[in-house]
Amino acid sequence: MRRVNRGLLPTLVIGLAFIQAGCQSQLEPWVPDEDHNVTITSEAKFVLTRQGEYVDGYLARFQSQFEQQWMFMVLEIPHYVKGDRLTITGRFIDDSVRISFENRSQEKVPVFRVERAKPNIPSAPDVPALK
Amino acid sequence: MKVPRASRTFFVLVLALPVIGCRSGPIEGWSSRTRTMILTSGPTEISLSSSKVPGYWAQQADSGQEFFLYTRIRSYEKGNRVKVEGPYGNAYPSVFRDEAGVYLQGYPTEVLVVWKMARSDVQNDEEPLSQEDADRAPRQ
Repeated sequence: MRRVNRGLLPTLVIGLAFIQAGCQSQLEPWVPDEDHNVTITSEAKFVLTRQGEYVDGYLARFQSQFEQQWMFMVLEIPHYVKGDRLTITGRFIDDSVRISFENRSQEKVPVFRVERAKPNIPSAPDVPALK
Repeated sequence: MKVPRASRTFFVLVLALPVIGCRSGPIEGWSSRTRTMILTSGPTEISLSSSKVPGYWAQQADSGQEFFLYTRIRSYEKGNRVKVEGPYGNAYPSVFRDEAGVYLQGYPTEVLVVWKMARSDVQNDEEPLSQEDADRAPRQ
């Protein structure tokens, strides 16, 4: 009996520790980063999300699957201005904000947490010179 | 097998020392040395743990190493040469780099908490900060 206890106890403790760690985990499931070319369509806003978090960011428009879509892009330092075109990297989180825009009343917009953003300056097309 | 008590204590001490060494880490940047910096930005801010931290981007004059100088003083301009005193350490704030218009989350940065800051148009690093010119940032 004593020998069984000796082997069983550490396994039991480790098992319990794993279960507790799993229960208390604050980690979100890993989602790969996405890149989007967006156009900022609002001034900087400080809004409350559906999950109850206050965030800084902008309403932005982007193209996905040949459709125009909207996101609320969250940045900790909102130094961009309305009309800026950016390439942003980050991910959609399981959250949304209610915003009215383009004469639409209070619409649910998904939240995109930005990790990197840089100006999107389209390069001029490379047209060969006429001979 | 009985191990003498003195040997046992010695053995425990020897084992404990590397553990203490691993846990404590270096006392990073704790220095009252005056550093000469060239400000590479005007008054700006970074975000550390969702808190806005005001200050300037600067380059150390002798090494070219980049720092963020945490201070509430906003009277300096980009290109000013300043002498600063204070401790510094590494952090991963969210930053906005004005020159490129780039926003980065978790950007590795040396943050120097400014205790004293003064204009320095002289090249000599050894000259002490004059008390009259020195701006004091609140110690937090």
